Amino acid sequence: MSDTGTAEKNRSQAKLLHPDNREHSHSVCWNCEKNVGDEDVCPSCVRVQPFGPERDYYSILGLPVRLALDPRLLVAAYHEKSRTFHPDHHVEDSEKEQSITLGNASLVNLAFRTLRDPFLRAHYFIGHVKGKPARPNRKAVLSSTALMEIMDLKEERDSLLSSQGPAAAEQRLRTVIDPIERDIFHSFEEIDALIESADKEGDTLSKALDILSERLEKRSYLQNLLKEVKEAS
Amino acid sequence: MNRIVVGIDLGTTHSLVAYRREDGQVEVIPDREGRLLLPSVVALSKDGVRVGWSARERINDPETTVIYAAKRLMGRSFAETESERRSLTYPVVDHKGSPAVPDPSRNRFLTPPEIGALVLRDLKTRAEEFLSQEVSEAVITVPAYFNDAQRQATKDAGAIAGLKVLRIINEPTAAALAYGLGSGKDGLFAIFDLGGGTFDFSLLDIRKGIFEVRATSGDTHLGGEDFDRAIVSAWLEENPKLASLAERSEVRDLLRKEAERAKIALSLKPEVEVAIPALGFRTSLTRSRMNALVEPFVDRTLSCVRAALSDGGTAPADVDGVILVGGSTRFLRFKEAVAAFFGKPLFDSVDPDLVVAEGAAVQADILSGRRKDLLLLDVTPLSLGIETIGGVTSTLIPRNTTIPAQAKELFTTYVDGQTNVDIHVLQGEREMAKDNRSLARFTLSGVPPLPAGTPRIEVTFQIDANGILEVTAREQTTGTMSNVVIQPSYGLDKDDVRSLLKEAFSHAQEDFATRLLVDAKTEAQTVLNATERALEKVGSDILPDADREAIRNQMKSLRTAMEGTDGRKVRDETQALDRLTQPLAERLMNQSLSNALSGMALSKEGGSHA
Ligand SMILES: Nc1ncnc2c1ncn2[C@@H]1O[C@H](COP(=O)(O)OP(=O)(O)OP(=O)(O)O)[C@@H](O)[C@H]1O
Ligand SMILES: [Mg+2]
Repeated sequence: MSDTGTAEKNRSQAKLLHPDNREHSHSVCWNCEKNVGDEDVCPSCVRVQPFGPERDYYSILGLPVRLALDPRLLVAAYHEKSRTFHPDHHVEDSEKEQSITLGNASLVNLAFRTLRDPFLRAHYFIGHVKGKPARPNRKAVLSSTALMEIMDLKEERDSLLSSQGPAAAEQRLRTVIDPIERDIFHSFEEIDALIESADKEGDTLSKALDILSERLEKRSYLQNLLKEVKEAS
Repeated sequence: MNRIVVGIDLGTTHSLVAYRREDGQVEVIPDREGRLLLPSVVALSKDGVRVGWSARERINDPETTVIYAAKRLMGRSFAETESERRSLTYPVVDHKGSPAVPDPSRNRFLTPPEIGALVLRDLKTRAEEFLSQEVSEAVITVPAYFNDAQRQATKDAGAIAGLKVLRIINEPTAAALAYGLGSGKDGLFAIFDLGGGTFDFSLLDIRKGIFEVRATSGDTHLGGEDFDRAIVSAWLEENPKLASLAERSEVRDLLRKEAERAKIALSLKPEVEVAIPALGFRTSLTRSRMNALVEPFVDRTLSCVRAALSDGGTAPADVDGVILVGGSTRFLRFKEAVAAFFGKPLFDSVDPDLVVAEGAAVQADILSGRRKDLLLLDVTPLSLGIETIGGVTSTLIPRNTTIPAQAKELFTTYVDGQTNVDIHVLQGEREMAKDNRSLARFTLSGVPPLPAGTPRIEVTFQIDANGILEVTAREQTTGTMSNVVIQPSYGLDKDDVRSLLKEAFSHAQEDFATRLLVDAKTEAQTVLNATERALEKVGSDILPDADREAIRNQMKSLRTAMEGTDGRKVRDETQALDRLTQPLAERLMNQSLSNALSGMALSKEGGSHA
């Protein structure tokens, strides 16, 4: 029995978020072999096309790669893609098409789930722009000063929790989290502007992304402190 | 002729079937007498099996086993149904780990899926007669909080009844489909569904024909029947004499029915008189007293609501309207509490008894391939993950994720040179694996023997639009793969369903040994239940400790015998237990008789308690 153990989560590896088992690259229709480009549905034979491995969440939903997204546009795009790919609209299609729609619809859902939440979206965006697979990664480095601040805040929270109760503790945490979230949204605008200007390679962008990373990281620590308060009450 | 897929609401107390007409209207199909509801009741007697209204009429016939609320047993193991069984008045025995109702006249045990199948078959026949064509496909609804095993058991019920179940959908979602379609309004809607046995809550975004479920939550043990029980308990507490009469299950039934009647009357008037002359019981129940009794249940529903809102990332104020579904939402206290919580208009104009079936018919229509203007985006109700080292659950797909869904994660080995990896698939919200439901286990072998932490094992979860989960594990360097399509740990396998299909309506074979076993187990279970109840009731004044000990021991031997297949042994052990409890039974009988005779006194003491 010694060689059978429970799987352990692989901590050392970055976790893949983007699926990579697409069978077809996305330029020729799998059915009629005519050119399809980036179309979801083959213009010649009207068969749905599988997303190629190069498709990111933004392109899957047909949205520009931006940090700030209009939620109404996002939902509209999601619904449109769902109409195209949801397996329930393909119940009478061939098995092959059903398996494509299953894969595509799963990705559409994952893309929407990720981009809908601004903080998840920001993590994804950073990885995407930097060309690395992204995933909220708790181990990302925080400066030791930032960590100290968080530790102090945690102590303060605990004493508030015991002396004045959860509401007071939550309120105190909010006074730190709210400004950080405002800063994060501010970063969104700044970075989107840089992306829109041609200055993509520039140092400025890379620095801005690092700052955003750190803010996101800090926020996720603070959110955990907040979550513990909520769980306690 | 057009292929018709019907929608079925298989309820705890009532079931219905609906379909979408050629003209686009959804219609609930009536029976020959024009009734829309079918009581989810099955009656087993020597002269046959009855379903529905005629089964319900048999409720007080001592020769008949009347099965109701079987939905509460659906997809659960015998052990898991303990608290349910205590409140049911028909015998439920352990049959290969599953709860089952003995049907001695036909020499068989009926499992919950088979009982459900009897109801479904009745609805199928009703639909076929009405539509003058064969009906072989259906969408069936279940409470949102049903787990995988419960859904699978419901599907099995369909298969046994000869129905291909194209989709299982959640009751509140179905209600919203029917409602949203009827109103033509877009927005974010909360659906509050409180039925006889279950509470479901869902948050649904409706936009231009797309119904996106944002979150669901609920409680499979909260409904109108709990309120009835709460009323009965209050009566018993106030009337100790009534309590001892209520040891008899017929008395309990009577009290429960009276409690339900009073509860329903209270939604029309502020106070009701209750009188059961046979028991010499008379009292009155006011709305405020009733409200106090259900207040803990109100709190429980609202805490589910809060959980779903927070999962869906919304506040009560974001909700555009609240849709009330289920018979128990006629209860005024709940209407009031829900209205206060959301501060929004309540929609209860749609007939709450019919909407679930109507919504199922809408989804049935979509799945028949006829409608592309509507689409339901549903979610998985419970989180799915695998067990990692230390017995901890690692979630791959969190609850309320829209389906179809896929998730991949990398895992590695824990021991140097480990060549096999155990993948244990779990469902539930708890941190520790042992607290969650085990869905499947499989082994990935052929992992190259490397130092711990080096192999890269990719685990993929794929849930299709039917909510069926497929788990694949792949070692990335060698490409070794292993996978499993989740068959729930409870439920029938394909062969079981097939053989049940064959058997279901042909005559069970005359097998003396089985028959003896069925009879013996039924008898044994009845004696055990009665003994258990008696032991709870009597103190050492009536029953000396040594006698109690002896009875306990004999109960143990009987239970052991019941696990086996020897009917004779079960019968002998039952008789032995009977002999031991005989003196006790006599003493109790005397007590209960004298109580019954002093019924007049009881009614005086039990006066009004507003
Ligand atoms: N006016 C009323 N006031 C309070 N409760 C009522 C009223 N009318 C019906 N009920 C209760 O509604 C319940 C039945 O509701 P419903 O028919 O929606 O349940 P169901 O669909 O069979 O069960 P479930 O949805 O839990 O599977 C019963 O408990 C009944 O007592
Ligand atoms: Mg119901």
